Amino acid sequence: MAKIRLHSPLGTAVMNLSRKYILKAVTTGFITLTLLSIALFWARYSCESALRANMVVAPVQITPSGMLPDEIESDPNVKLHSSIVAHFNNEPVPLGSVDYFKDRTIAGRVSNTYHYSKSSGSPEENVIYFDKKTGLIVYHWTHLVRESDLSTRIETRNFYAGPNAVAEKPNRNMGRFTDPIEAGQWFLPNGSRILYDRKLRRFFRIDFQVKTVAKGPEIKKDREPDIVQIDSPLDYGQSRLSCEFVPPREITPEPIEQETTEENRSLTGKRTESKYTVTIYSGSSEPYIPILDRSGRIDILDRNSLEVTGPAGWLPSPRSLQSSSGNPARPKDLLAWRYFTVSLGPDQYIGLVTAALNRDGTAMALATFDKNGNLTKTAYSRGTMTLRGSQHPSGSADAAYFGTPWAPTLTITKYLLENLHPLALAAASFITAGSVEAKAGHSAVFLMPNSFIAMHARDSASDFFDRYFVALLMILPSIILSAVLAWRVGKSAALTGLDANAKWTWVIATFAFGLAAFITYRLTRSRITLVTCPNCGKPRRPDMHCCHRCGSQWHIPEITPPTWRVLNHSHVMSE
Amino acid sequence: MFTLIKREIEDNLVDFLAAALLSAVFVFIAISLAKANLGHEPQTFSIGLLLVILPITGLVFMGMSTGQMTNDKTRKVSAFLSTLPVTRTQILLARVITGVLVMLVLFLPIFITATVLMKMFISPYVFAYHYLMEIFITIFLAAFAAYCLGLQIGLSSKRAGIVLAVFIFSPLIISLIFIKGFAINIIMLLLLVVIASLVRTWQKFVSTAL
Repeated sequence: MAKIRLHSPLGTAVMNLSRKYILKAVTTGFITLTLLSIALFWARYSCESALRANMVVAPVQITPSGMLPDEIESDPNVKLHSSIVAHFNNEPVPLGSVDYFKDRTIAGRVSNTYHYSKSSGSPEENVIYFDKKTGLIVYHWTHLVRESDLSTRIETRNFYAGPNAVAEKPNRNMGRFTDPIEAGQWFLPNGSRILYDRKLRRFFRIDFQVKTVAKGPEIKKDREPDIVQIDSPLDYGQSRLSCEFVPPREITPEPIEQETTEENRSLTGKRTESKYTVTIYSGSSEPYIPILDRSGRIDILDRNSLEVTGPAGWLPSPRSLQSSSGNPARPKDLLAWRYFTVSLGPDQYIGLVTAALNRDGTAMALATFDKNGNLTKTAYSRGTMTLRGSQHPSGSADAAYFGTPWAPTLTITKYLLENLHPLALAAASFITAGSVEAKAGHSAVFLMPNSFIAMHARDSASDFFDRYFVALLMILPSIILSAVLAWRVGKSAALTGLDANAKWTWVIATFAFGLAAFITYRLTRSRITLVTCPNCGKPRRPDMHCCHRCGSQWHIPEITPPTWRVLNHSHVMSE
Repeated sequence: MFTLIKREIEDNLVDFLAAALLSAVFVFIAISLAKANLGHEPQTFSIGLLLVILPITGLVFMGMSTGQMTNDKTRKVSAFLSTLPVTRTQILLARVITGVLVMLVLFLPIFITATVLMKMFISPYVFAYHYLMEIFITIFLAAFAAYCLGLQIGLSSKRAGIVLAVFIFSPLIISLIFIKGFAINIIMLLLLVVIASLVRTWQKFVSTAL
């Protein structure tokens, strides 16, 4: 605002006015930004959901799988080779309120309960949970016991497991778990369970039946496993992404009616059968336990020795709209993933299958690895683009954004909506593109981790010039809009009577926060009628100490005492 | 101050009765939903209940606060009270406290019912009870944010604008819960909205001609 002189009462009044104005602008600005961001969020979310809903989702398949020995695949009786099939669904991504409950119920990401089962109409209950206070894993077991006289009684037992021991009563010698991750959720509580403690940097195998805890070797600090998951439990998006291994099948001459799958329909009247025992292991009750780390690498844990053996594979990177595939995908960059080991017979490990769905749920990648962890085959989701009436094969992400009916319109609308978002937040979305978790990104209101500019920022293949120059081009509409709004605010601020500092603050704020700052300015600008400055003759604010144009103060006429006096009669007499 | 609050309560007695009635309806819905399902699936139960409660409460509280402000203007309540030895800050504070009391009348019975139902039907191993407090705080803050925004909107002189703003802003602010859930980040965001809105309302209320 205008120049402030602290020593004068008028200066203090002006300073108070300035403070009040700042408070007014900041509070109004924050509310405007929040409401505008929420409105824009819903508009973008609707566009993204509509784009996904329009997608034609075809399964991704690898046939033959390339995992089985040649003597099996090339067996003359085999008519259908082994295959790996992955599907993903295109439903709207659940928002924060759904995730909140999901994460806090059994085996959720925040829940301390690993297993819970209860028979309906019976007091029988099995619970395994982590007690944060004691740092112990507790197995709570309630059972109905039949006595010899046919009466029943409820028996409740608790088992406590620490890093050193399992006992029916907790004691200090058992040690404490600090930050455990438990293996898959579907295993029976009476089997042994595998867990990893991030602080203790060890794997543990707990068996409540025989009351033992086996401790694996400490993982060296120079090798950072930073494990995020043991096995591939259900809550990591299995409902969104499914993947299965189909063993090779041979055809017998018995005609059948009930076969309904696409593959079998082409072989009318023939039964398909598999004689090969291909065991798909994806559970901690089995000998090969895949473990996933933060970088997307998958290792195999030996169930008996609890030692981690070399890399078995990684999560493949789907071909998103702007990013190229090839590098391992980090779990935080994926909306969903699946992985499982494949064994021939009970103990012959032959490889690993991994599947991943990209952030915006429009592209999927499938990969197979041999027993040495070498990538053997990959497949990517495909779609079709309709160009001038003819259909062309393309990547599923390209097809989702441009290939389906209404897709270009929705894509352009989404792009324009992203450009209505404040420029500063678009820039922040670009900078933080890789650090926001994919799932959380769908609930982001202020940042836009799924915007086109953030997609571009994640494109690790692009060089420096391409990265920043193309990013600038992508937000060009936003820059133009912000510049126009800032120019209008600057012009209005001069007319309203804001001083140079206040005017430039508004211009910069409008350029950074775009529409939100412009609305805030319109809501908070002064509506004082200007008066003519006696010094420069231009309109100036009457509530400011100095003219905001020429800096002159108000002309205050000096009051000098008159030289004459009015004397009363007594004074005259005394003189 | 107590006299001011008492006067505000008397002025908004209808709101208290409506909140109590609405609370009874929600409690009935909660009990019916709990009886109808669900053994141990808190998601369906909770989301079902929230889908019913939240949009209504947003509208109700924003409507209530705009009503308080417009009534104040039309009946010249603050203009009269200013002739007595009370400050405008006290008048506003009494109004906000009344709003909070109405919210408690609506939410506390629902919260108590939900806690009892959870303890009856859902094992603490399935869904820890302390999350209910987190949910309650978030819903309360969302309703309070809607209420505070309503106070600010109610200071406007354009009646059509007020109605339009209530119908646009209350779903927006309440939808934040569906977007973000009930974690600490939304609690902080709602707190900031509440503070910003209250400060702005106070600033405007103490400086506007009555």
